[in-house]
Amino acid sequence: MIRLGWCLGLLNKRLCAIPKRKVITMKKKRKISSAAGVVLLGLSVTGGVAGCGSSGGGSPTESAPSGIEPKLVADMLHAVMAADRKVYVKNVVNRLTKDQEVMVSVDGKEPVKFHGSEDWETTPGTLPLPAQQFRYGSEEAMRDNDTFEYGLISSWAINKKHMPDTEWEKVNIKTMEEKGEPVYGEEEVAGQKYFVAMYPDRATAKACWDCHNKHPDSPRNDFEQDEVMGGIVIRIPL
Amino acid sequence: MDKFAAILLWVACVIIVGGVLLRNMKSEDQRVFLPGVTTAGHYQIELKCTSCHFDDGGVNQDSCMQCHAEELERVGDSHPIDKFAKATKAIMLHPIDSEMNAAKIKTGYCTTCHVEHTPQATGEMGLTQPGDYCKACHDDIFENRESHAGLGFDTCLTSGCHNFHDNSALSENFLVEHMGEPPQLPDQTRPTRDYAQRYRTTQADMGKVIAYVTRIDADAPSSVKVSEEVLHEWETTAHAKAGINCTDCHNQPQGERKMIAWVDKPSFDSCQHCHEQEAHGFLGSRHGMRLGAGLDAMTPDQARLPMKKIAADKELNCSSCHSSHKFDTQFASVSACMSCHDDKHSNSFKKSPHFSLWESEIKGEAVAGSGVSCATCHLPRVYEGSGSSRHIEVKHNQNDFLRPSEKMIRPVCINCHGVEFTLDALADEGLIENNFSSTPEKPHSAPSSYDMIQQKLERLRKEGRLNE
Repeated sequence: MIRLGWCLGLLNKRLCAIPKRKVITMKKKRKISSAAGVVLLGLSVTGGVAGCGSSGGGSPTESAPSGIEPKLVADMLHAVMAADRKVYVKNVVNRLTKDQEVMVSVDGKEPVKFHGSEDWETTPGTLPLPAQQFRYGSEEAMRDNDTFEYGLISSWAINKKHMPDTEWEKVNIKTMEEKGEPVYGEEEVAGQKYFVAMYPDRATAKACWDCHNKHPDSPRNDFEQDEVMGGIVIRIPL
Repeated sequence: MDKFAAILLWVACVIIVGGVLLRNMKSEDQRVFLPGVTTAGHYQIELKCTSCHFDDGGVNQDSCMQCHAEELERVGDSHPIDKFAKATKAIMLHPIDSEMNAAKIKTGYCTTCHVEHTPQATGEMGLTQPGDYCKACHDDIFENRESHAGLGFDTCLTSGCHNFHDNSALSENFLVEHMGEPPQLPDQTRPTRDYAQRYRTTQADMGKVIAYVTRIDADAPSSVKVSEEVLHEWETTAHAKAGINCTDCHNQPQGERKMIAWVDKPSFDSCQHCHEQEAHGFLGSRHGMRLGAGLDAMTPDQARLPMKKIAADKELNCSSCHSSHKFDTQFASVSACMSCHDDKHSNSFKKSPHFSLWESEIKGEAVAGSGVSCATCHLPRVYEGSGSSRHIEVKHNQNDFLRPSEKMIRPVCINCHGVEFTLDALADEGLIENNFSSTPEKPHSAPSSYDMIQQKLERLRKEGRLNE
């Protein structure tokens, strides 16, 4: 039999390297809602988001260029993110792990106190940590949508992969921490220009500072209520 | 050669090559199109190109996820695609692929590290990246983990410490939780199967009454001759006790119009009707993946592992291990495996302490569930579901619990052994070869994961930061 493998190898490498069909797989179907998606939907209904990169601020009914300024879009997105985050921390995590003594027994084993755990997926009787819940929401929102991205960073992150990444983040997180106010700007990542906003993320419930102050890998253990613990970064392509 | 002869020669060549390709496109044997040797995980289905490739020849995330998503979700994949979805995270992979960006991650994440048909570049686990690839993102580890000082990036995944996808039994929290466990746990039993009970409950919920059927109830058509042996085998099984009669398995849809009619040798579809989870696992496994892809059944002579010559042509389907009417799970747990597998690990099993325990159990000399068969480790009984739907499944896709061997720790080993002992045992290649007939000779790495944890706990104790 004639073997054409040697010449088809190159073709295969090319095909593997540049997939032609764009299908995004939902590998993890986490059922954590992202209200940010609702905001986007609302904006698109009013005709705003498509023009968010423009400098205009005119009526959505006018012809292009029109839309909402990136800063306002970021502020709106942040309002929803911060609200969801606060509700999860106060009404779910704090309630189940601090306010109440919930004991859970799984597979006939000794009951354990219900708690938050970074290994919640493989550990019965646990729930996702607030930082994970926020990240899952962000990942869920980004799956079928490349109009914006967001995440949580901190100078005192327990997981070092959540320290500031870009030069803009490294410089501006200091300003945000000192003033306790949002910082706005522009930066380029991998050849793409972005509008960036960073908002202070504060300690809103006992579960926040208790966990960060006690965690063996936490680089800081003196957080108090309402202190800035990190920043929510929203990035919108321009 | 004149110009006319040259043209004629070219035309003849094109016709011959074209004819060969066309013939192969329409035949089942498509080996001519293989661009290179396929990996151990995929070679069984390499002749069904469309198992992975789309009509345009491309491969993307869907190709991989259609088979691998379930396992990755079950173990809580440590590096899911989502981790690199942000632009700022995608560029962390630039040392691995300098063209990487957020858009490319979404369509070609798996193939960044697993490029098929490239044997010259493929290592363990089908990896087509250098063994120190962790460095691309974790080059700051020495600053953040004092315990890792001096270690090489080529040791992250090879010393029983980390696994790119499944760290469910290697994470620090898990290791701390199981610290100090003895090598042999006080209770050494495997979980008890609950399928029969679940079946009865489901039938009762649907208002059906299960009646034990015997040979006088057998409903095979009168034209079918049923031997005494078959009748005896069937009426002494759980099937007869659960009211499963001849036609429940032997009546299958036939022809284009899918008319229900008797078949002498039912396909796995019949088993699948009630044992959906088990069949699903089997069809994704090395034993059943060819059937799952719509190809002929796997036979031992196609295996890349050593197999017994006498079993070379044996076709692998449900009844290969469970037989047609007896459904002897004890046979399926050891003898069925031994009838084909001929490698050192398999051939050492009957000399191992695990097998002694198995013999004691089946002789009735030891408590139920205390024996260790091939299936105990390779087709483990795993808890699934939550709350009132929590149940035990016998996993029939042994690939999910095989390699890297750390994948066996949670579902298998820690039913009987302490985690530290397990880590050391699984990292000892000699021990795997002799089928755990001795004890681990040394820790899985130096320093071991537990050495590092002790070191960290000591530091925290000194700093007064050790939480209860």
